[in-house]
Amino acid sequence: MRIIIIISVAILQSPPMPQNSAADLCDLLPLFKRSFLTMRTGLLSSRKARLAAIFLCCFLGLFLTGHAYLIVETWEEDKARQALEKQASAHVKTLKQSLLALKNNMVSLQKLHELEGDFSRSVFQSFLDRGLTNQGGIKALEWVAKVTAAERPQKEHAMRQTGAFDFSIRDHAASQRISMGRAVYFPVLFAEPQDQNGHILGLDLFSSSVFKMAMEKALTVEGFYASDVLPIAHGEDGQKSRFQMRLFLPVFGASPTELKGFVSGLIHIDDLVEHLLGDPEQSNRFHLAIFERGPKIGRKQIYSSAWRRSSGRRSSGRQSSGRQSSGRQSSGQIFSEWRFADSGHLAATAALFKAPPKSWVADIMIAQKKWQLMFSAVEGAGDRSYASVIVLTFGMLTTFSLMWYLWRSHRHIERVERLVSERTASLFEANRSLRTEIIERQKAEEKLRHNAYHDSLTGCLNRRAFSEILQKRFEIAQITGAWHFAVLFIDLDRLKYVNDTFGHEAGDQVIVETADRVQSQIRGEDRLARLGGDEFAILLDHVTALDQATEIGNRILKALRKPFALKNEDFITSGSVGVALAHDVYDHPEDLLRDSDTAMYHAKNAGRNQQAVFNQEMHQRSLRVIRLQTDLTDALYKNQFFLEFQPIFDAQRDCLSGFEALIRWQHPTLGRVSPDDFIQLSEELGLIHDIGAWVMTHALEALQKLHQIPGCQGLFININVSPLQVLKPQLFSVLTSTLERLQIPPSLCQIEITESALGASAEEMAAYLGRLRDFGVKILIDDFGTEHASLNHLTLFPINGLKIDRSFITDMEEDEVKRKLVKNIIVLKDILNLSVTAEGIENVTQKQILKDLKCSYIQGFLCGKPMDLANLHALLQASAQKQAADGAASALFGLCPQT
Amino acid sequence: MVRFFLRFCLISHLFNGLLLLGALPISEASAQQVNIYSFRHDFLVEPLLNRFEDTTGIMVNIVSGNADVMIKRLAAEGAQSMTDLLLTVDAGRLERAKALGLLQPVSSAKIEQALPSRYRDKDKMWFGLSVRARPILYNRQHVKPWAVKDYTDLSDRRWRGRLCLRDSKNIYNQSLVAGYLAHKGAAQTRLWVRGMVANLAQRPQGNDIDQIKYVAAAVCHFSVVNTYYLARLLKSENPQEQAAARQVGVIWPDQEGDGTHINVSAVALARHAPNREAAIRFIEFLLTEDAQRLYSEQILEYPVVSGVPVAEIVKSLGPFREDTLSLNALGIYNAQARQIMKEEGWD
Repeated sequence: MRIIIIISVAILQSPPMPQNSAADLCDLLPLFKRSFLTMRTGLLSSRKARLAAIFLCCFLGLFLTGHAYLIVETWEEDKARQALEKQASAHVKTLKQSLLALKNNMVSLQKLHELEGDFSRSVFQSFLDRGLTNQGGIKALEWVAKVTAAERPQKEHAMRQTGAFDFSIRDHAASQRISMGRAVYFPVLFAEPQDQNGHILGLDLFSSSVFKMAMEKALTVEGFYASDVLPIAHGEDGQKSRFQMRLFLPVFGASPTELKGFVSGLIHIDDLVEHLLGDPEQSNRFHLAIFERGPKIGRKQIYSSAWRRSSGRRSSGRQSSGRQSSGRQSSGQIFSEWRFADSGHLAATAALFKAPPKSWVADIMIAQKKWQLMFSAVEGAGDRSYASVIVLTFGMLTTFSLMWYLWRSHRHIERVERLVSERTASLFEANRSLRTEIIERQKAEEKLRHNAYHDSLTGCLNRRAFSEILQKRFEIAQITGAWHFAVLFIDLDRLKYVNDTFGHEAGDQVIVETADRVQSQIRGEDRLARLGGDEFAILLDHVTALDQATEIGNRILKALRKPFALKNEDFITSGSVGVALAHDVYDHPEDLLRDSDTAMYHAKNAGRNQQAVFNQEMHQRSLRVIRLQTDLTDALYKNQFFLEFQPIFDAQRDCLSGFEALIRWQHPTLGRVSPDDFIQLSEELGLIHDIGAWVMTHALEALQKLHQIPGCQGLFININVSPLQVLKPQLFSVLTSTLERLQIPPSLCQIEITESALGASAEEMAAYLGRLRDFGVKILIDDFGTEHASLNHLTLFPINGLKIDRSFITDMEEDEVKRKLVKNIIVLKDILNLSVTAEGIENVTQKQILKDLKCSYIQGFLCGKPMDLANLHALLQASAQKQAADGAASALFGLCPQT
Repeated sequence: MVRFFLRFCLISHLFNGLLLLGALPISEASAQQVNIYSFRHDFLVEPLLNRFEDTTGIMVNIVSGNADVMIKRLAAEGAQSMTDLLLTVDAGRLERAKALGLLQPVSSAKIEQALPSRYRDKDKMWFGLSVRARPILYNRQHVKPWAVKDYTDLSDRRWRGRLCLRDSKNIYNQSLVAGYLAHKGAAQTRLWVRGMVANLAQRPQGNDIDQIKYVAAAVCHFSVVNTYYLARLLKSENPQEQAAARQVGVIWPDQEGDGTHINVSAVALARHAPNREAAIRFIEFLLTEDAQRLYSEQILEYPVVSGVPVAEIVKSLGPFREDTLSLNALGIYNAQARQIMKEEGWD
């Protein structure tokens, strides 16, 4: 079993080598050689190998279990047989001893008789070994005297005298007839123990053929001779014995031929056996059958311990009937009728002169008679140790447990293998997809890296790449001192126009072509980058002189001037180029880029389509702008703005008609900042609405204050408004609400807008301006004639008046052309019913000319410089008072009389 | 064995010597004698005989043997028979002899005065000499004394293989079954016998002493035995026998019913008794207080004559209520009882 387990475990627990492990068994078991050889050659799968191993283990386990069972069973049987033999031989010995004791007793009596010549009853009695009859199973010890017919009466009398009052010689038969007519009788004279055997006295044993024959034989052999067994006649014995026999020993007188009688031992066989052995079946767990064997009778059963093994009533009936019929003394019948009660097989085997299985046979000789004692173990007796059953059970359990374990292991391995293969497949699949993913990712990363350094639209380097290249070049320069490189900053003009007009697609097309054109104009070593929108930068290496850079810049400008072919029409634009030369004063490459950018802005501001080379002044201006941007945000909240008012005179009447409100910024460090410097800035920063509202409110409040001065109620105020303001509803709401709040007639409020405001969103602008004019506010065009406002605008927009730019007025008195232009502008006044205001009047001549030309209003230093409200208020108050006192002529400001 | 043999020889010699010495003067003087067929093996009755011979001078001849054989012989010899008295341990057997017409009635004032009527034949054919009860014996180790209350309980299925009985030839059991039959009827008796036979642990065998030993050795757990056997073993000098006797206990059955079965050893006068007067004297002698004391003390039976004390060892078995069934019934029902036992397989 251990071998099986080792083999099985080896086979099952080392899946890679099942063939080898199993192959070792080939030599042991030729039966499986073929299959295992096949396994060894690998033709069978490991699964089949395992199943074969399990089958082999099962076979071996069952085989060994069966073998072990048989061995233990045999051993048990041997043990039981030995025990049976031991018991049986002891019993046989006891029986022999008892019979020997009987013989000894009889021999003693024989010798006594020979010595004494006769027996008396008391002497006979004294010789009886009572133990022999009590425990030895001997029924009686008898003195069978030879009595002749002549001696008979005397003998009978004598016997009666000894107390056996009914003594007569009787036949040994059921009838107990008084024996008659024989010459010689052999009656039982004494039978001890006498208190149990009184009924035997007087029985003539010679009347029984069986006993007679035995006595004759005893005489012949002159020694012991046992009679054949004789059934105890029914009624003769109230006890249980079935067969009786007598053992005879002849007793002779003085001469050996003078027969005196026989000493006889009466044996009831059942008594004998059961007294000596107890009940064999109960106490010793075996059957005992006794057979008498002889040449005449063959084999006759005379005792059986078996009793009541089958159905009690019927068998007992058969037994009793057998007993009754056995009285006929036919030995053949006796055997056939007197059989084992329990089973036929014992009787049958007995008939075949064979001992039944598990039996032990002993022969004993009883005075020429041979008894065969057959001891048979009783089936199911408690002596059995059940070791074989335990071995069988254990073996089967172990085998089946092993089978179960092996089967479970097999199933487990199968499951694991399946899982492994599934897992392997899934891993393979995962690996493949992972590899694909990695490749895709690498591509994506490459693309990302490319994208990271290149502009997606043009394929040029992007800002980041440019910065890095510049950084590297910068570092080289810092190390080597080779600062001969420059940065060109290019901005394409009017790209917004393309985007707005033709769409972003066209804008992109322009950008791409721009890049191509620029690329075509630079050297192979130069690096072009698109920084964003319409901005490009070029790193020009090996630039030793500024000319080299400007040469390239010019080429680029030239290339950009060529028309761009869009869908249906050509687009003409230009570029602005800023150049910054590298120098060791730069600490950071960004500074170089920044400076080129600054230069580009300068070029752009200078009118585009040109290039500018960076210088330090540009830098300072840039710094100032940046600073203003920062501070402008705070200025409104820090009350750094204030208003100045410049007087406007009625040119014909030469009196004060109103003022233009001018915003001023008192910067805490820079001092007064010109509106030219910060208005555009505030427009770019989106602050113009708040600033505009502030100007509107404060200007009107100032006007209301001035209106309180006597005679000043007719003064109007001009307020500059950014075109951005006009397009917001805030302007209208602030203006109207403030006018209503201050109760100023809207006609005294005039809004000045520049010509440029009329260019874009003309319809929208016209609508807004229309609402203002409908409200009563007058609208003037400022700086008329300087920009691209067309005369058509004057009809399209609800204009109330024009302000002629100072450039037309300056030197007007000497310049004929200017004078004529002004004259013609003023002519428009009448045509379009507009008012015309001339700015920049500085001398009386100019004033006079304009007066002659019928200009409506004049404004300039001659009329009065801008002044703050306090001064103006004081001045007006003083003028009003003086006018009131002295008349208009003497007043500094002659207030126009109110109409 | 040898010691026993020698001792027995000595006793036998002495006994025979006494017998002969006593017999000689009497035979010379009166030649009066009494011939007895004894169906009991018990040689303990012999002191009684000696006492009788001593006091009356009447010689007692006794032949002990198989009752069936000897009754048959008595019947066969008829008027030729020399037998005066039948001495038996069982009233049933005398009932059978009575039925066979082998007995004659005895009218004796002494007997009638000494012997309660329930212990004698109503026709005065036989007279009880001693009473023996037949209680249930149990193994003290294996059975609780309350496990069985009645004879009927012995047929209970619970006791399969736990009962020992003597064989059915034994008159004690025949009378026991006859008594049961008289009380319960044939059908119930048949069931009872059948149940007991089914409960048998072994083939019916041995005598009462053997039954005690079987129960003590736990071959079986129950049996029925006559009281004096147990008493005798309790008094035995053999320590093994004593131990066996102590291993068993007595259950007095049917104490709430018909009472424990009893029987009597009895004597009857043969119809053709040649020595009638002497025989009657012998009967009267056996019912004297002296003789009864011997029965009680030596044979360890219950005396039939009131006033005679029960032996201490017998008394220790405990008091019991005896079956008051007429002892004649035992004889009347004997044949039917044997038939039932035979048919039910009581071997």
